[in-house]
Amino acid sequence: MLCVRECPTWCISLESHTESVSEPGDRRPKSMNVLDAFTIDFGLCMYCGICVEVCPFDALHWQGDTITPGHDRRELALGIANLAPRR
Amino acid sequence: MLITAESIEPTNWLSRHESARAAGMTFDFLTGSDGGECVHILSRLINGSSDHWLTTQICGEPLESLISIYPGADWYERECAEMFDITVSGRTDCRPLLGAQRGVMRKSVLLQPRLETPWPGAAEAGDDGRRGANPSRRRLRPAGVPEGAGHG
Repeated sequence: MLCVRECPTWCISLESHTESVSEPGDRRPKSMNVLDAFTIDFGLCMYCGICVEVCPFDALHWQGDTITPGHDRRELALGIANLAPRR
Repeated sequence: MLITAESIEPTNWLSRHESARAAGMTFDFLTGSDGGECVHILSRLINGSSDHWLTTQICGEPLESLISIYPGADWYERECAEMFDITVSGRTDCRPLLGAQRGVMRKSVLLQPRLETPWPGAAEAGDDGRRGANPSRRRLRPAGVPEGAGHG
């Protein structure tokens, strides 16, 4: 969420929900956050790198790829499938 | 090239440019800068190796148009009028350039799309959109947005 909050152009948005997880031996279930969607709108992105710097888990990094141009500016909003294709 | 600058009163704006033109200075451009209550107006005049800037402050009163002596100032005056929401006297063509919000270069004017767009950082991790999880938690605001600007 830090990347979402710190982005100066508000180009990152994410959706998540909470799930209850019980390990054997736990007295009560723990809740964990599950990522549903992560989108960076490269039509707004300034390439400032604040999101990369601020992530405490180093989940974002710079890559040399160019953003594929599209016919509609909505095609510039890339989700998890485009951002992390090897997953 | 030596750069010189001169701060003048708004009432002398046109007359000072007239004397500059008589001295052979040509007009380069005119721009503005947000000064809070007032707007700084700057014009650049050049002649050979002379680089002279004239500046003034407009605090609600109209800016005198330079188009009678420097026709090239036309577009820049239209731009400043629209971007800083000032009036320029002595001109008949007051068509806006972009036709959207006036005064967007002033910090006091908040951009309409910003006000209408919900801030994606308002949601907490694991939040399905409900604030029921922890309603007493301090509401964060986006960086750089002034207090009371109306964002969640």
